[in-house]
Amino acid sequence: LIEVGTYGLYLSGFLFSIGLLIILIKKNIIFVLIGTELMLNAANLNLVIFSHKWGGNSGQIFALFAVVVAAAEIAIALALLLNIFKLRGISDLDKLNELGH
Amino acid sequence: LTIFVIYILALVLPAIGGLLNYLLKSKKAILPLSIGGILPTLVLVITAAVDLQKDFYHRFLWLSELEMGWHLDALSLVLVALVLFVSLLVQIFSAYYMADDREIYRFYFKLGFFTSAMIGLLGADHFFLLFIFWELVGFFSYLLIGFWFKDREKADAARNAFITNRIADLCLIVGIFCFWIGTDTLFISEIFISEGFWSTAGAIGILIGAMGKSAQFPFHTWLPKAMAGPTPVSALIHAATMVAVGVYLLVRMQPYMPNEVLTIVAVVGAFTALLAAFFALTQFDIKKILAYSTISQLGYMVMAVGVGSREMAFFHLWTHAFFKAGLFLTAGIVIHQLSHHFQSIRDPQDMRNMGGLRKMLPVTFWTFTVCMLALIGLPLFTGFFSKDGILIAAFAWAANQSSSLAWIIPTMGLFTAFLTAYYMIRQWKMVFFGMEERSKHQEPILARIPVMIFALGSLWIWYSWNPTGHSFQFLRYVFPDILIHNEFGFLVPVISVGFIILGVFVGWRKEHGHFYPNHLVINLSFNGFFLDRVYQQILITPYNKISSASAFIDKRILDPALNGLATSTVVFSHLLHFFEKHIIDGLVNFAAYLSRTLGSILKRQQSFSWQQQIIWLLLIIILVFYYLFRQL
Repeated sequence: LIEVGTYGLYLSGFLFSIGLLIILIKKNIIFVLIGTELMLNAANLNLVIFSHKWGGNSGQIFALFAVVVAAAEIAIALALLLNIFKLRGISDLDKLNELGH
Repeated sequence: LTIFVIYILALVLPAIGGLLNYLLKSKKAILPLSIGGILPTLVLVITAAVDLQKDFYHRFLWLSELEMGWHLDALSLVLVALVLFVSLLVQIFSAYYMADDREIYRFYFKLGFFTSAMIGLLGADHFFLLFIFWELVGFFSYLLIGFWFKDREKADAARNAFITNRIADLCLIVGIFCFWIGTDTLFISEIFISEGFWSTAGAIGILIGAMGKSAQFPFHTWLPKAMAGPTPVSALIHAATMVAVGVYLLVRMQPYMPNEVLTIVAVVGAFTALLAAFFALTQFDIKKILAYSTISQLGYMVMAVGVGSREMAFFHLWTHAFFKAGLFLTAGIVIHQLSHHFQSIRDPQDMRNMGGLRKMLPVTFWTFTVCMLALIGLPLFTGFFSKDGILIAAFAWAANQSSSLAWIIPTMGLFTAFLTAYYMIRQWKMVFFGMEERSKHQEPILARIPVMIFALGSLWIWYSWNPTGHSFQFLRYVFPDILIHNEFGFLVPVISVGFIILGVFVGWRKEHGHFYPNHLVINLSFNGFFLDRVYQQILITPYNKISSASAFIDKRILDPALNGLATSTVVFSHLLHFFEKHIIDGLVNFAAYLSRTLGSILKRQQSFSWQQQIIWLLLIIILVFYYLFRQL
């Protein structure tokens, strides 16, 4: 069990680093969104692992909720991004630097 | 009408009349305006004087701190009436004398204001108020002497009179301040007799002021020059009223003057009387003789104050006003008629061009004769009462003095009476008798009335039924506490009449030449002891030198210094400007430059892309975490 937790933390650290790296080096909105999803799932994985390590189910249940909320968020975020792309024809975050018109 | 209202009317109406004359500029309105203002007030003043029960005082505040006051007693009311009376007749006469002058309105303007100032002076109870009016009458006298100011000589005469009076007035105001220190009051009616340095100094200062105004030696030189003014002015100002102001002040102040000062007063008066009579002996100018005679008579009055008989000084002032105004006006008629009917005469004032006017101007001749006899002091005329009153008082005073030198003063008075008789008869003879008989050129009625009134006023009848005995009724009214000297009451008049008759006789018998031999005494008399030249030498020349020296200092030392100061100020300002512009402003600009440069350098650090910002964020978070958990 101990190994499972330790490897799990490695995995989540790996996932978080990947996500962060994507955010830092990619400029496309979709990639940034994927990077944030990866970092979110790394955090979820941490919740599950620490819940397993310290006993009790609340952490796993919280992770389930977070997955559901994240799904909702991602749906809204994708809708917004698609609309922005439709309106402005931009998928580069650096160029999306003004509010309104 | 209260007495004060009457007085204010008398003070204001003559000036208003003069002002209206000046503004309206209408030939027809001249006489109604001048008479209409003065005649009713004259009547009112006389009724007020007759009704006078007790002295009238009025105090008022001036400048919020200084209290001033009017004081009307019998003396001032009587003199106000005299001034109004003489002014009235002179203004009537001026309508004749000045009729051809285009500036006649200005003349009436000045006459009216002079009369008002004179009346103000007579009612003033406060020394400062008195001094203000004193200066005002001097100022209007200056304006009237210089009435024909386009003539350089006349303008100079006016300036001379003005400046001579200013010098004496300086002494007067110093004397006033000394009296103030001595008695701690500026009200004439509150002054009391006090011993000590301050009251003596004050008395001397006031004496000198009075000597300037009343043309006493050594200030007398301005009065003969003042004859440059029109003749009515000479009659009003330089014979009857203004020059008597000095005597008036002495009469007012006499009870408060120390005895030593009174002795000086007596000496000054007697000496002036004699000296001016001596100067009058040889003059050829008809007005100059009268001017010197005025100085001489004023000397009598001053002498009377000095010998302690202020009543007689006042009385001589009073009678003198009538006969001397009459003499001046008749002289004015003579001058006017001569210059109008005998255009060939170059100088109508020179008696050598006259003679034989008895037939030409009979009325003038008779009025002149009456006034002249009053002046030389024969019985039947007012001058006899007043002049002999003065002589009697002088003899009584000399008898009371310890030193026998005191007898010199009444003797000088007697001798002056002799000289007066001589020079007046000389003038009479030269003007009215002798040479060819001229055709008749009657003077107009306007000229005749005033001189006749003055001649009537010079008759004895107004003061006593007995032509040789003075009844003192009038004087008792003005001075209730009059002191009458009887010791010499018979002897002195007899002696003085003897002297006078001798003078008349000598003057009548002597042939008066038209030219004089070059004799020292005659030269001294004709040129007035050369006093003008002496003053020129000892006063005016040094004054001019001092002036040019100070002008030199001003020009060569003060002006360059001032210019240097100005230049250095400008240079200093430029320096200051430079400093301001380049150092102070430079500092401010430098500070601005520094912050701008720093700002632009630092600004560059801000412009990362969002991804770089996240890297910074991560770094900082890692650092914070490291800091928080470094112990673990």
